Amino acid sequence: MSVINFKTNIYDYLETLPIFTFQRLFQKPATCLAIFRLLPAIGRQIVMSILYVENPIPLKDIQSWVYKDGHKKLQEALHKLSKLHILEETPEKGLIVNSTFRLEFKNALSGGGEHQSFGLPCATVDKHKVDIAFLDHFASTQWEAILHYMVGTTMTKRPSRGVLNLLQKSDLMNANASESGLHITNKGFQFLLQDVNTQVWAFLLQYLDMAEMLKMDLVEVLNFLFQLGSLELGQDYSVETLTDTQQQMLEDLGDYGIVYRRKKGSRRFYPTRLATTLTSGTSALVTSLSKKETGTAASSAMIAAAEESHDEGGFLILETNYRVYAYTESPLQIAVLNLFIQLKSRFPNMVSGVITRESVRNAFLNGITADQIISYLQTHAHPQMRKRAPLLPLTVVDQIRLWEMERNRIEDKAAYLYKDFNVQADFDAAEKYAKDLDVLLWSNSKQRKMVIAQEAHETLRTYIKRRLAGNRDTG
Amino acid sequence: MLDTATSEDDTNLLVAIVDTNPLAWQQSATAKIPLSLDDAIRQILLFFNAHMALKHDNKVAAIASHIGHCKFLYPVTDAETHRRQANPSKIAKDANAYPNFKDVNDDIIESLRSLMADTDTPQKNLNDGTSMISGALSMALCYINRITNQDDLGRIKPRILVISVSPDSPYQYISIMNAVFSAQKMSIPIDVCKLYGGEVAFLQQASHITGGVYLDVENPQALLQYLLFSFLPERYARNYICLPNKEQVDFRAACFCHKRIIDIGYVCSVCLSIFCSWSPVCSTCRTKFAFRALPPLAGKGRPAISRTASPAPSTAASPGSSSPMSTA
Amino acid sequence: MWEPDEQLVLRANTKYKKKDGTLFATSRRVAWQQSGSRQLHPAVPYGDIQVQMQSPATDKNIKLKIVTNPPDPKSFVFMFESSRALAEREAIKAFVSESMARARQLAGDKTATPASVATLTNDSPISSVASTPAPSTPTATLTPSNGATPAALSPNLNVSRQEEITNRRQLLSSNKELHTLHSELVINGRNVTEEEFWESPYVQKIRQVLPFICISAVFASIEQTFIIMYIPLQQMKKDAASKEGQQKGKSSKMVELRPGQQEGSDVKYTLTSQIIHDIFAQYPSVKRAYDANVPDKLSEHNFWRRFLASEFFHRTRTGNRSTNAVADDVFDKCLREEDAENLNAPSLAEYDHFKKTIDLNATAEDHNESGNAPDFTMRPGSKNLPLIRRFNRHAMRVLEVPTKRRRDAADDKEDDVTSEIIISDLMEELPPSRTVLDIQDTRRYFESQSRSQDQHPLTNGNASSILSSFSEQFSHFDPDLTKQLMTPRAAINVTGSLTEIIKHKNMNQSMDPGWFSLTCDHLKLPAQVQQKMIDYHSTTNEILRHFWSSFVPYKAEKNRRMVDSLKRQKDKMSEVLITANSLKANLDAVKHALSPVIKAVDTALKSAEKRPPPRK
Repeated sequence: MSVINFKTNIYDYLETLPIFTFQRLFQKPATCLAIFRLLPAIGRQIVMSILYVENPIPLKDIQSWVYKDGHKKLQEALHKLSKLHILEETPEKGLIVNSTFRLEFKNALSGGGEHQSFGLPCATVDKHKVDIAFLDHFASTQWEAILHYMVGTTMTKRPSRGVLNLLQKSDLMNANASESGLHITNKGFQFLLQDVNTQVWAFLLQYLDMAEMLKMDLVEVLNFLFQLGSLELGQDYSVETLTDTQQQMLEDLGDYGIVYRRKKGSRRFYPTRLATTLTSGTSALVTSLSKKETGTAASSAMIAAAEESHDEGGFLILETNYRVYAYTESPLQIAVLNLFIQLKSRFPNMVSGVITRESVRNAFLNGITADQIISYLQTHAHPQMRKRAPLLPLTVVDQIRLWEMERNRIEDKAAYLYKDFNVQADFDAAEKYAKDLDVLLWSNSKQRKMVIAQEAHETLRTYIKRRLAGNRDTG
Repeated sequence: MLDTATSEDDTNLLVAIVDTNPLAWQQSATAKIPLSLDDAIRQILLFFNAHMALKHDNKVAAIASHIGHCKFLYPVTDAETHRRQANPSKIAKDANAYPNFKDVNDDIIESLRSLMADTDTPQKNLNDGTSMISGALSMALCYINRITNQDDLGRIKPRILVISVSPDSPYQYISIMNAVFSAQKMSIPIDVCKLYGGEVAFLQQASHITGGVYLDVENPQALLQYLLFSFLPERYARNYICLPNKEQVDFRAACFCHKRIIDIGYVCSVCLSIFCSWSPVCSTCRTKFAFRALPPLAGKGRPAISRTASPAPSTAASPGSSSPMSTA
Repeated sequence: MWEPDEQLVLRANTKYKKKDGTLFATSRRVAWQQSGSRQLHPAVPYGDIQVQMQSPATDKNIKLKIVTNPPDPKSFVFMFESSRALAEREAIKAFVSESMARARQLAGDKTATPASVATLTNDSPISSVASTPAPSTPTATLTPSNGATPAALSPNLNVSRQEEITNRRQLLSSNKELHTLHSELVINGRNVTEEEFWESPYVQKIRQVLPFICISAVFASIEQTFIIMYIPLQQMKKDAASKEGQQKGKSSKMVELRPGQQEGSDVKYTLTSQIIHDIFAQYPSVKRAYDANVPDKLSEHNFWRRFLASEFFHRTRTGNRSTNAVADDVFDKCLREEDAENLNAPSLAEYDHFKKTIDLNATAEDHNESGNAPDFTMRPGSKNLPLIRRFNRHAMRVLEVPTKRRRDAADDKEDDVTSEIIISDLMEELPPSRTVLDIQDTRRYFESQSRSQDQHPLTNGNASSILSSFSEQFSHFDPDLTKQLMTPRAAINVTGSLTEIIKHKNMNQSMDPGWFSLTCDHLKLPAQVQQKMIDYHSTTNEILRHFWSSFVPYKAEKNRRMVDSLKRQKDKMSEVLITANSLKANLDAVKHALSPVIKAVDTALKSAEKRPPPRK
C-alpha cells in the first residue's frame, strides 16, 4: 500500500515537468534507475526488452507480447512511459527508447560512464565515525520532532525556520492570528496518518516547489534526491561530487533527518535510513528494532530487509469489540492515536483505548477520512495481526465507514419554492419546462408546489410571467 | 499451505545455475556461432544487474555447475566475505557503479576465478564429461527452502534459471527428476536457456512440468537479448506477458537399470520406476509381477511403451502386474 | 436318434395330437417322442421356431404351442399331463425361448423381434410371456470375420459362449462408441479380428463402466486437447456381461388381483405364474393350504376357483364378515389364521444386544429423543390395527434381508458406548498411514551400475589440458561490463525471431482450449465434422493400440495388418478434410486438432520400418 502511495505522488509530480527537464534528468544514471523503478511491472519489462534494440519496434509487436487480459495494463504502462518521455513514438507507429535514457541506463547497469552519480564514498577514514544505530537515532529524533511539533506536544524543541516555512507553505499548518505558533490544519491531520515514506516525499515535493522559487536548479535537486536513494547506509560519502545546489540542500535535508553531518562545513555526510529508502518503499524509520544492514551479500541481510520492508514497526492490535491496544511508548504515536481513538488507559509499554463513534466523529471533523484511518491501522498493525485474513476485523472497518457515511446523509442545494399556482395547466406547463431544463428538484402536482434550483430561478420566473401574461391576454 | 499468489510487491529471488563445464565451453567457443565463457559471463552478469534493477529488493543467487561438483558463486559464506574484504587489492568503491550491482558482480567473478583455478577433478568425472546439473538443482532448492522458511510473510517468490551448454547425462536422470518434482511441489518455475549442446530431454521436461520457459538460443552472440526478453519477467509479470516457449516437449526417460535413454520401456505399476527390459521383480520396490510367459523375442530388449509426445494417462494396469502399457 | 453333441436339458410328459409321449428340450431343438416309439417327431430346431404360445392360466389344460417360421408355418400343440404340468411347462417354455433367442443371434437375424406371444386361437385371453430381453433395435451383424466358429472366449469371463455373444450384441447396440469402433475396425476395415477387438483393454474398460453413467473420455495424444464422447445414460438393463450390474430386487407391490372381462355373471380372473408366486409370498397361509390340498384333495384349478370365490379373497378391510359369506372350509381356515395373526401383536424381535446408554431416569417427556416416543398408532382396539399389521408384515417380507453373519456381541456393545462418549474431532489427529517406498538397494537406484568406460563425445581432446587452459584463462578474469556486449543488429534480429515464436504460440493457443476445457466446442466446428473427427480419432487410436501391442512381443502377421491399416487411416484423413471443407469448417483448426494423431501414426510407421526384418 505504502509503496503505491508514494510512487504515485512522485509520478504525478514528474509528469508535470517539461521534456527538456527530462533530458537533463536522464543524464544521470542514478536518476534513470530511480525513475525506472517507479514504473509498473509491464512497463519495466518492455523497457528492458527493447533497451538494446536501436530500431523502433512496431506497436503491434509489443502488443503481441502481452496476453489479452493484460492489454489494459499494457496501455497504462505505455501511457506512463510516454508521459515520462522514456518511450518515444516514431512517425511509423513504432516505439523506441529515448536515446539519452538508453545510454545512461545501460551505464547504470554496467557501471560505466563518468557521471559519478552514485555517490563517491570517502577515501579517508572518518575520525568521528558514526555507526548505523546513531544514524537511526538521529533520523528518528529529527523527523519525529517535526511531527511532534505538528501534533502539539510541548516537550520537543521547535524545528528550524526552514522547516516551519515548509510546513506553512505546504498547508500542513497555518499561522493562527491569536497564537504565536502554528496550528495544524485538516491536511496536517491527514498527513499525520500517512506512512513515513509518503510523508517524507510529501515534504520533498514541497521542497521541490519551493526550490524553484529559490532559484535552485530543479534538475540538480532531483538528481541528488534520487542519488540519495541509491546510497548505502552507514557509508560516509564525500561532498566532492556534489554541485553547489546540492551542497546547499544538505543542510536542509539535515533538518529533516535525511542526512547527517557532524557540523555545518563538514566534507562528508552520512545518509540515514530515511535517505536510503527514498526510492525503495521499504520502511524508513526503525523505532525500537535495530537491524544491521551489512550491505548486500549475506542472506540474513536479505531476510532483514524483507522483514523490515513489511514490518514497519507494527504495534497496533485491533479487536472485534473495537478495542485497540498499542504497544508503543512514543508520545508521537500516542498523540496520533488520540486523534481518532478514545484512549482509556496507559501502561509503561502499552496504551489501550476504544474506537467509539465520538472519537471517530472528532477525527472526521478534523478533516480525516475513514480511508485514512483504516490504512493507518493497516500499516501499523502488529505482526500478530498479519497472520489473520483479512487483516483488520471487517466489523470495525465497515463501522468506521458507516460512521463516515452518516455525515453525508443530508445534501443541501440552494433552491426556490414555487407555489400557489391557480391553474393546473400553468403548473403543468411550468413543471414540464423546468424538467426540460433539468432544474426541477421536487414537485407535487396535487399541491401545485415545486422546487427549482437557484440558478434557474430567473429563467423560470420569466417563463411563468410570460405565460401568465399570455393567459390574461387570451383568457 | 504455499501461497502462490503473486503480486507486484513481491520480492523476487532469482537462483541462476550456470553451466561452467569447460569441455562444453571449449566446443562452444569454436562452434559455428562462437561464444566463449567469458563473453557469456559478462552478459550473464549484466542480466543479473538488470534483475536487481527491477526492484530494490530483488535478490540473486548463482550456482556454478562444474564437472563433477558444483558450488555457490553468490552469495558466499561469511567467512569468505571477510577474507575478501581483508584483501587489500579489492577494488576501491566507484561512484559510477551502483554498489549493489558492483558487489554482486565482484563476488561472482572472484568465486569463478577460484572455481576455475581448482583443476584437480577425478578422471572418472572427466570421462563422463557432463556437468553436475542434478547437484546444482538440489543446492538451489535447498537454498530456496531455507530462505522461504525464514521469511514469514511469504513475500519472497523464488525461481530457477538454468543456463546450460552440456548434453544430457542419463546417469543423473533420477536425481534430476526428483529435484524437478520437488520444485513442482514448491511451485518454483525452472527456466532453461540452452546455449549449445543439442537437445536435452530432461531439462525440457523440467521446464514443462514446473511451468517455466525453455528456449533454444540460436544466436549465442546475442545471449543478453535472449535473457532480457524471455527470462527477465518475474512470476507476477508472467501472468500478463506471453513468453516464447518450446511447444513440443521431448518426454523420453532414462531407464533405471542401465541409465540409458529409451523410447519404449516397462514401468512398474507400484513405484513407477522405468526399466528397459522385463524383469519379474521391480528393483526399487520389490514388487513381484504376475508371471507372464512372453514368447521369445527376435530382437534385443523388450520395449513395450510408445513414446509420448505429450502427457497423457495410460490405461491402468491392475496393481502388481507389469502389463505393457500403451499410451494414447 | 439324437444328434451328436446334443444335450438333453428338459423333458416332460406331454400329449401331442392326443397321443402320449415325452417332450424333450435339448441344446439344439425341441422334440417330441411318442411313447413306445423311437422316432422324434415333431422335432423343431430352435432356429425354426417363430413363436411359442401357451394356454391361459385358467384353462384346465396346460398347453404349449410352438409355431415355426414362415414360409411354411406349422404349429404344434403339446398338452402337459403330469402332476407337475404347470411347472414343467414353464420350464420348457423358458428354456425354449432362451434357446430361440440364442439361435436367432447365431443365425444373424436382422429383424430380431421379441419372442412375444400372440393370442391363442381360443377365446380365452392369454397372458404374455416375457422372454429374455432381446434388443428391439436392429443390431449389427456379429459374424466372425474369419468365418469360423467363434474362437474360445478369453478366460476372464466365466460365462458361456452364448451369453457372451448375447452380451456383446447388447453392448454394441447400446453403446454408440463401441458400435462405431466395432464397425470401423471389424466390419468395414477388416483390420482387427473379432476376438482381438474384444480383448483390447480399452474395450474391456468400456464394458466395465457401461452400466453406470457412461462418459468415456478419449484422451488425445495432443498436449492439451481432450475430446469427450457422450454416451447416453444406460437403462439399467440386466447386463450379464458386467458382473457389477445391478439386479432388480423384489417388487414391493402388494398383490392386486382385479377381475378381467366381465361376461354376464361370469367374472374372469387371470392368474399367471408370477401372480401365483406373489400370492404365495404374501399369504403364507394360502401356500400352506395349497401344499396341503393340491393335488391330492383338490385339483389346482378347483383350488384356485375356490380361492377366488372365497371370503378370504374378498374380505373387506375391516375384517368383518360380509353378510353373504360363503363358507369354504379350506379358505376359512386361512381366514382364521390370518385374523389370528393380525389380531395379535407380532412377537417381539430378539435383540441380541441392548443399548447400554439409555438414560433410565428420563421421564416421559424425554422419550421422543431417545427413540421411545409413545406410540399412537398401534393402540389395541383400534379398528385399523389388523390392517396396519398386515401392511407391516408385507413390508417386512419385502425387506427381508438374509441375516448377516453374527458379529461378535461384545464388539457391538463396545461400539455403542464409544460412539456416544468419544468425539472424534477432539482426538488427536493420527498421521496418515502411508506405505513407505521401500527402496531396497538405494545404491542401484541412485548410481548407475554399468558406467560406460568409453569417452564421452565432449572429451575429444585431452580433458585435463582443457581444464588447465581454462584455469589459466580465468586467473586474469576481469570482465569489463561497460564494453559493448552485443551488436544492436543481433539484438533486433533476436527480438524479431522471439516475437515470431510468441505469435505462433498465441495462434496455437487460441486453437487449443487449455487444460480445463474437455470438449472441442471451442473450435466451433459443425457437429457433423466434430463427430467425424471423433470417430476418426478413436478408430486410429484403437488401431495404434493394436499395433503397439503386437509390436512387442512381435506378432508378425498382426503387425503387418496394422501397418496396412495405419497407412489406410492416413489416407482417410483426407476424407475428414473433405467433409470439413464441404461444411465450410475451419480447416486449420481441424488439422491442428488431429495433428497429434497423425504424428503418432507417423511415429508408429517409422518404428515399423526401422524394425529389423524377422529372421526366416
